[in-house]
Amino acid sequence: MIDKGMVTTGVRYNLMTFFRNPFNLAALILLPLIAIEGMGYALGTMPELPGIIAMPEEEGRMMGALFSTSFLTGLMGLFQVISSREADRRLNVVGGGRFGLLFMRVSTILIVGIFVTMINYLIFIRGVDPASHHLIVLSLLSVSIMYGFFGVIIGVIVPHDLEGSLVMVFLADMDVFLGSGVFETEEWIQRTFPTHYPSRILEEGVVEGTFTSDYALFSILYMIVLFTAALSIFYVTSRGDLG
Amino acid sequence: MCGDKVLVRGKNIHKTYKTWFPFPRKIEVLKGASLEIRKNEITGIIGENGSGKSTLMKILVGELKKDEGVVDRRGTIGWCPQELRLYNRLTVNETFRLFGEAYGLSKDEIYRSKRALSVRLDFKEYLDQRVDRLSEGNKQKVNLSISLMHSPDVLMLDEPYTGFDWKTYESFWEISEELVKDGTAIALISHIIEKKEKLDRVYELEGGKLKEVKKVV
Repeated sequence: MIDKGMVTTGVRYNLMTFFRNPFNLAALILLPLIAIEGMGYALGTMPELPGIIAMPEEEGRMMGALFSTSFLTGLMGLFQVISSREADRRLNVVGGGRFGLLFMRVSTILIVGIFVTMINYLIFIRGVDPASHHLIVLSLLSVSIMYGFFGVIIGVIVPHDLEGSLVMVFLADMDVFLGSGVFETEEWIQRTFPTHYPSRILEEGVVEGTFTSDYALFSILYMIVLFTAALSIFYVTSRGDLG
Repeated sequence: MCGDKVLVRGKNIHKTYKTWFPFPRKIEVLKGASLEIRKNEITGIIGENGSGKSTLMKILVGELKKDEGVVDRRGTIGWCPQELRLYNRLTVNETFRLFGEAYGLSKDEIYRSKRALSVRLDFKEYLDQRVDRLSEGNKQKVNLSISLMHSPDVLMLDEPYTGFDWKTYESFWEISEELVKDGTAIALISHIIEKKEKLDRVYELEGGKLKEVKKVV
């Protein structure tokens, strides 16, 4: 049984806790700015990339946006699990319940994911005139949700700030570099990475504005798999003797 | 099941911590611990550092799974863990609101218990402050108050007065005595209990087993 009042208060307080952390606020603005502008500039100095339909600078901005969206939401999910683990266990014992806690965490991830998406989107379109704004938002939003769940999974498996952050930066880096197809890699390897399909949607949003339903379907499939994994791992590890 | 006066009964509790990385290792903490926590009594659980007192309490409140044994609980439980288990970036007011709602209290009940406890334990001027900005003693007062705010039938306290000043320490014992008179069962963990005369029953945890060293007359 979920206590709606407690969950609503919990989500509100989770968000307040997130925004009361100066590191989160700084990262929310600075990381997208540095990653998108920096990678756009770096790739903009290169000649056209083989097999890539977007202009090099656009491709750089896309990679920057994918990286900062994935890393930021991943970090948010990770810190949320690690920093509140002990208090969460107490809240569970006193009546919060595991479902209530799960609902609180997932709702917070979705809301902060929307924030992260919008900030990345606004910085991204400063230097790109996309064919479809909807596809840009859809792509970044799916990445943010996936990585929010990744953050929860890593936070449970590697329950330390530093080690968890290192895993997260490595994962987001590898994912964006190998999954986006900028570097020549086997097709099946690219498809294995969660940001592969969102990166295709992003590319279509920038260049042609066409919507390929397969890309959306596979992105949703990845989200469902990660959501189920995060849910299961959080549920099992937060179980005490009361259930 | 528990008897009329017994609100928590633990029987033959076993707990072993197992680690597998970097090397497999087992630490057997509890080896058949049994105890009863009764209403109108303060039960002390004493033992050396690392003897497993906190593990036992976590099992009794249901936070930690036991490997073997039975725990019967009756009534509502208030748990004050040894370490501060609160959300650091919430204010004291917000902390009361969140935990109060988890206990199922109304806004009015939360307000009344917060006011009463903050006056009694002397932290009312810090209600708008964030938990991570409080002194250690005030953090512990909030930690204790959260376990008391719903007037539980059983109160489980793990080293609850660490960091208290003398006045608060005295207030703590006054509150405990009042609660016990009203029918609350209190279990109190400490490696040093200065006021043994206040305890109705004392268990000593040694070698993973509990030995009753003082019985109520």
